[in-house]
Amino acid sequence: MSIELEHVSYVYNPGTPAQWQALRDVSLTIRPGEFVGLIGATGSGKSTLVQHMNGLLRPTSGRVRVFGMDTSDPRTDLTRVRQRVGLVFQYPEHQLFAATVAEELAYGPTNLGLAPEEVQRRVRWALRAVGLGEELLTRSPFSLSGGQARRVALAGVLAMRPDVLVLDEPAAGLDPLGRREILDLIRNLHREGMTIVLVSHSMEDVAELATRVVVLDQGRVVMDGPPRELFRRHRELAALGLAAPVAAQLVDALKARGWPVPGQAVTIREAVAEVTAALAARRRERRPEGGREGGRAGV
Amino acid sequence: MFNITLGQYYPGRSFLHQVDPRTKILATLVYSVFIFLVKEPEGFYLVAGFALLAMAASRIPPLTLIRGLRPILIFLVITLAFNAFMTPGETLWGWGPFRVTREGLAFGGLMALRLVLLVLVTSLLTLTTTPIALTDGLERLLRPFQRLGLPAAELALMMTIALRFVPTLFDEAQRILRAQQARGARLRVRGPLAQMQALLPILVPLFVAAFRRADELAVAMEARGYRGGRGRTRMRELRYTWRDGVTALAVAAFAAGVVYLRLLAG
Ligand SMILES: Nc1ncnc2c1ncn2[C@@H]1O[C@H](COP(=O)(O)OP(=O)(O)OP(=O)(O)O)[C@@H](O)[C@H]1O
Ligand SMILES: [Mg+2]
Repeated sequence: MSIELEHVSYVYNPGTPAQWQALRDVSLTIRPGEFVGLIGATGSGKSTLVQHMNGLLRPTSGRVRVFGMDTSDPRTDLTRVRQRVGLVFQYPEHQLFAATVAEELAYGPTNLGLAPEEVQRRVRWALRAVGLGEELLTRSPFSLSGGQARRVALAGVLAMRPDVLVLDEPAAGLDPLGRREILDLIRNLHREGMTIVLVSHSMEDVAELATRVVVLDQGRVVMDGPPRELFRRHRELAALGLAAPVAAQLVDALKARGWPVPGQAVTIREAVAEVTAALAARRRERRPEGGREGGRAGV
Repeated sequence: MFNITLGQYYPGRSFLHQVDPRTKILATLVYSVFIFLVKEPEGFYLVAGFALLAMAASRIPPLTLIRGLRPILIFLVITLAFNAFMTPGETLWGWGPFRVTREGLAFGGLMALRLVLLVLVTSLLTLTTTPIALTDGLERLLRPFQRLGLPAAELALMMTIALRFVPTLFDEAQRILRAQQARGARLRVRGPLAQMQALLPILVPLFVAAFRRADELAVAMEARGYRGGRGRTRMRELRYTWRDGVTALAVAAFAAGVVYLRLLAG
């Protein structure tokens, strides 16, 4: 198991007026190769939860084990935990600091104590992995476009070669093209075998990418399952302040009106397939009766 | 992110919370001056009594107040030890050239008590007054000096902005620190040069963030028509109530008591 959380609770500022319990008895296991989408209303504890996954926060009670290493155990080498679980914060470009992109990307691997040649190898690999050209290596990270800076920050974490990549809202604040590029990049990393945990407000993105969806509400895990099952539970999701993907809502509405659709779609592509199939079926049905209705229904 | 740890305000609706900030600022000033006029033990009953009264009127748990003393603990110890060893008098305990005297212990104790009371009362001011009310109060108190060229409104605005953004920048620093820790940052390293270098990945993004926020704030203020303090009206007007009368009386009685004891002692 990659990451195991057992009965994890977390309290911010204990013993002060600002005391706040952000996580309540969360038990969760992230298995190798999974793509977990973590969703929940704002303030539900997503960011707090993901910071437990690489030992940045230690549970107030309960236990977190990362590849067998207990993050609360003082003997655990947290640098090793952080090497295996890479965490990309929200707006990661705000953490850029170095004079050049090359230095920026070398920061993580250098902290791991790797030899300079290995560091250089990883810098180049990470830059390629995020789809940027080597001509950027000598540029200042502060001179890059928003999307480029985001990808450099992501590469800075990838350069540590983690087994698990945890991303907190990686597409927030990007234009549609930038969004697309970042999500495609994450999809590719997963295809190449990386375990992914993706925090997102976008049900569409989660439906399209995740193999498993975990829903947080007020610091508790309230749903956990395959996106196909979970996104059918519109009412429950709505009660948690979340909306099912539009595609799922569409096919369910059509089905409720008696359309012959399976009502399984959660992504736009799947919805298009269901609706097209239904229209084709209808056309076939009507054709024997003659006339041009079938043709019109297809428009 | 907005959390309520702005300054160190302790939310509440006690008597002291509702006293006008101007009154509280002036009362704290008077107390801080008069506490240094007190020399004789009877006077200490008076200053301690006033502090206890103020604590009771604030309804803040004593434990919270005591916890606020932690940062000055080291000063207390030094004050006490310094006086205990350095004051000549009847020896209680000696070791080599060092001796603790009865007079030294008594004097050191009083000095430490004075320090404790001073910190307690000033922290009551910040605990029961929101930073915004505090700057409002300061601005009103400084307004008479505007004629002498003191930019009271600008000073108050600067203080408000600083107070408002200290916790924000603190949050930001924490976030950046965590982000760099996720990349394996080590902060405890040997040697001053290495230490500086280890801090750069935190400081550079923090400065960038501070400038970004300053820019955003300037634009936001201009967009809302801010053009300096002149002629600006306020949403919350400060008003004196009966509570301010009571407080003023208590402070006056305290001050008179201290002066009386001073005169009595000659
Ligand atoms: N440093 C902190 N100090 C005090 N409370 C905090 C802190 N960080 C988060 N919280 C509180 O903990 C709760 C969970 O916060 P968290 O950031 O984990 O939520 P989230 O699900 O990531 O929200 P969002 O979708 O807005 O990013 C919130 O109510 C928040 O106010
Ligand atoms: Mg968050």
